[in-house]
Amino acid sequence: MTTYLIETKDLTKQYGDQTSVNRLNLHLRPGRIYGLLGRNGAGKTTTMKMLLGLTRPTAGEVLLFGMPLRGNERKILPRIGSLIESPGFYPNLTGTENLRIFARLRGIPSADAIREALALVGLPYRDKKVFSQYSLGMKQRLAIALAVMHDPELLILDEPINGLDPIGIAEIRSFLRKLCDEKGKTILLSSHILSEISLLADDVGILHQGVLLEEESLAELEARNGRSIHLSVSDSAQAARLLETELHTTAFRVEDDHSLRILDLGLPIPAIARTMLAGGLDLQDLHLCEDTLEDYFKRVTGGEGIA
Amino acid sequence: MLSLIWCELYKLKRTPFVVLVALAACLFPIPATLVSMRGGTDGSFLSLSFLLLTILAGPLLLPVVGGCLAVLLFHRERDWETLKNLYTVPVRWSGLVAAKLFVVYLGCVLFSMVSLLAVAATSSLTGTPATPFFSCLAAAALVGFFYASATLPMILLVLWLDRGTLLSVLLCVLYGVAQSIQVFGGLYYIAGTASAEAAPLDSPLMWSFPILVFRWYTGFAASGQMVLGPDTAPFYLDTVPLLALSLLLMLVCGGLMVLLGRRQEV
Repeated sequence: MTTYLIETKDLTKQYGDQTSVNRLNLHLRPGRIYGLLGRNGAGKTTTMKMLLGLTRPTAGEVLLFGMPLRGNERKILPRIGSLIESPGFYPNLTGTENLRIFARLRGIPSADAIREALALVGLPYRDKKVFSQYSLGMKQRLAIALAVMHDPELLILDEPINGLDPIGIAEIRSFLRKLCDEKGKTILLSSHILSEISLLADDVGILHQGVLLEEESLAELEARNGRSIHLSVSDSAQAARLLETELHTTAFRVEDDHSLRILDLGLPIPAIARTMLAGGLDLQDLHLCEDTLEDYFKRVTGGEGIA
Repeated sequence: MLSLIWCELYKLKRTPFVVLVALAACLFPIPATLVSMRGGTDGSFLSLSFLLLTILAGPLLLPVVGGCLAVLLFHRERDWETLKNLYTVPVRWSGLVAAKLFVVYLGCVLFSMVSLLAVAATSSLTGTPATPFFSCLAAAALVGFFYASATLPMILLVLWLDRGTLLSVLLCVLYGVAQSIQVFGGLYYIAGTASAEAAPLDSPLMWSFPILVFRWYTGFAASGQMVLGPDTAPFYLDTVPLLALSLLLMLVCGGLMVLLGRRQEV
């Protein structure tokens, strides 16, 4: 049985009549980056707040490190670093002073932890600038520094690249990737920016109107939604047999009774058509698909794409 | 808990309000003392401290200082969205409330003691010996403690209303004015009798919080004793009932503040 670092069971959150998160079953494996993708208002932040105990679920359960969150907050939360919504700090204090407060509360005695965390995100240690004078990008960097300062096993980051410039985005992306690959950290991050998720995540969850529509590895999603040949026939089982026996390929997927997706792009389209017709099948459609992840996202959410 | 208190104090760094309060504590007593020495008191240090702490600065300024400090400490967490960072440490709301109230108490006690020191300095410079100094200093600390407790219902109201900082500060000022009105109302009532000791205690005004402090101060500041002799009762109050009342306010209001915060989600 797989042990998940984060597992939710039918997690639900309602605000009055409105259901913000609906029976969510999330599974996050250790040492992976999980990208929670969804449009604005999809329920990403609410989900993350429930994972951190900041918001009480209406129903369902959150399991972190194999333990229920409720009642184990003192054991679990110190093992997590988080960034939820906009960075929240004291405006009259410098970045270092702000981190000093949380270091003290977390029982981190060494000033090195603060210095290292600031260095990791590219902020100066002894800066005289107070938080209220910070740019949005600097605020975001400070929030990431706070999340990693105590060397947590799990990072929960809500839209971590908000407000960062392109270079900053690339830096944070590489930093998170390194945390996962070299230090074995597990990261759950949310974004409405599809390209970011596709560049960073190992696993992807697509959340739409509070419902988790998909939960797959990125490789699987890409395989499913990259270039392929779409085939609509009268009998997909018979077509599958023809592909195996006549065209000697198993790189295809039967989608339903009448459609298949051929992943082996080396097969000539006219040859496929001839084989199907010769096998006595009615061929309704045969074309090359070039779905991007964004196309897929649009299709599963039934809406316009996101940035 | 010590870490939480340290953090609450640290958060006040570079806060102009703290400088303003410190200046008020040091400067307000000087003109008040000089004017009082010219009339209205017998000119002794005890009378001057009594006038400042139980009639002028105590009822008017201490609720404003305590209230504004609480508004600053509580609203800052909300306005700057820092509660989520604290909760994920994890820090409990009850611990936060306790630490913030500790700072409010500390602020009121320090304000009261610094005011007393300013009175002592002013009276000494004008040739009046600052005696009995230590019992007056202890009385000042207790006045700060009592008025911090008296401010708790107003802090609770501010938290419950959950309005903007400006309205909350305005409420604190109004509360301070209301406390002063009670003192002056009580004084007017006492002035209608032959002596303070002879004032009938059946009026509710004689049991209002500022008048209770007024009725307690002289006895304690003069003797530094916790318990007054029976000959001075019933007008003069013992320290124990006032302490008990303050602790009761602390428990009830603090408890309600904790309950109020628990219901809120970040």
